[in-house]
Amino acid sequence: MEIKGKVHCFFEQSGTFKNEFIKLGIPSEDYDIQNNFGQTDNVIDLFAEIERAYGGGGTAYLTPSRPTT
Amino acid sequence: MERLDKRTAFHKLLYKLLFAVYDKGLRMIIENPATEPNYLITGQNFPKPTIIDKNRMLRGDYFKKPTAYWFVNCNPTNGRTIQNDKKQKIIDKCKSSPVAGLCSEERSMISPDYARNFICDFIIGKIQKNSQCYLEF
Repeated sequence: MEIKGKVHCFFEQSGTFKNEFIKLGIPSEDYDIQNNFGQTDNVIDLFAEIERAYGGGGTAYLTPSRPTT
Repeated sequence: MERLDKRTAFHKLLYKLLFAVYDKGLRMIIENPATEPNYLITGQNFPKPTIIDKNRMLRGDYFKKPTAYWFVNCNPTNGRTIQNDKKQKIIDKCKSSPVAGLCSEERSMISPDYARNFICDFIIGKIQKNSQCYLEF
């Protein structure tokens, strides 16, 4: 599949996938409530963000900036 | 009871995430163990997984650990990288989580090699040095 923007990786082991996407030339960020290795890009409560997205008020990475295909 | 409550709470969150993704037309890939018993694959009214990797060691991981993947609003590519170069780790011999209902970090570990091979085989369709050719019908 074609990836035009950034890949957002959530929860545990998201850093592992993030790093491999970046090595393959695909921009990527990870999100987790933990930052055990000091490499998490976004230390955030994903459970709360999911609740917000479900309720219609999701933050940027759960709201596409343009229609997806 | 604590484990049961946690499992129910996590399932509800997963359904809410699925709804948000479907509603907004986003593409998402979910990963979850496919070992039995499995509460997503057999016990819940949940979509069937798109693919199940039955032996992660063949793509460079430390665990055999059958793993299911759900591709939401997208389809996997069809690659097959062979990299079976790790000494096997056994889930039961890894450290347990101190919290009931949660997997320990050691048990959840995915090798960078596996992550790369998964991305190349199933997400971007990139042929690598160890990619295998096979017939498609």
